[in-house]
Amino acid sequence: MARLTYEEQWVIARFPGARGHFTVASQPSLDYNCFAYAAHETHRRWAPFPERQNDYWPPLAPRDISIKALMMAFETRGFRECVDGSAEQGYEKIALYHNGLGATHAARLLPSGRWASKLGDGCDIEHDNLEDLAEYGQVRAFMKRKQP
Amino acid sequence: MDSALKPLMAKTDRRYKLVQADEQELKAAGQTPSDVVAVVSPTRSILFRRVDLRHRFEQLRVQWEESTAHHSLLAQKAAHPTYRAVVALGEDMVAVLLEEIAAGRLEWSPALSELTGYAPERDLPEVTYEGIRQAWFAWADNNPGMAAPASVLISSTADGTTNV
Repeated sequence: MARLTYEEQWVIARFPGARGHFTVASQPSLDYNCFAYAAHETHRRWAPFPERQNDYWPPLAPRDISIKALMMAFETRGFRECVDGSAEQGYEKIALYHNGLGATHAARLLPSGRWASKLGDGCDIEHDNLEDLAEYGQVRAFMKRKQP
Repeated sequence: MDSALKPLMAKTDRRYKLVQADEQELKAAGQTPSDVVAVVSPTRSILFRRVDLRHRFEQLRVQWEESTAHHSLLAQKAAHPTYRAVVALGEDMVAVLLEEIAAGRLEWSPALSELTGYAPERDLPEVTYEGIRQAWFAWADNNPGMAAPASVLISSTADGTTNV
């Protein structure tokens, strides 16, 4: 069995259910977060409360961590709510996670059928199932937009 | 009365005894033995205590950053027990957290808001990183009593001593 890399250990320590279901896709980065990554932005973080100088939040979205506010943020990028995360020809889809406190995470469906996630300040991963990141809570909403 | 020091006071009835609390008592109060040294008087009033706030803060900050690095939203990270422990250190932390804001670490703004009751984002026409920093600086100018460093605290005492 191959020895786990530092990044793989980092992921498994936080998301034990992901073991065997993910691949690391990047080095850790502070430059962007999961919400920005889901919108294909890797030059800034999306944050309703600015922690860092370059943090950004879509101007039309409320500055809170509700799923509704997060959906409004993604609506500014052309996403609309949809029923599920199944692959749909011509569309790009995202899944929004939620815990008891509010929104936690966004994952993007890849053409391969896997999901792409940026883990906070950590690395990007590709994972097989949305449930692999159960520590983020449950998926509360799906959104889709036409592929450019 | 500072609840963290109540157990200390019960431990002595000799004049001006230097006491070090035992670990269990301080854990219950959310602090560690190295954080607190207190002098108590025969009347069981606190003369002073020294809390190495910066050291304690750094311990908690490192734990917090490590434990919440997979989160993207500050509101989620601020719910972590280590962040809560910083807030639980109380108003003595205000000066330390203002230093963090000055250093550009706005992740401590919600903690400051909890401790001071002031939320800069509520007053700003546009919520920006620099706007929040400047609002905290203005708040510190207007509240020098809370914003001053407080590594040594002098409490009022029942036996008339006011300083050490």
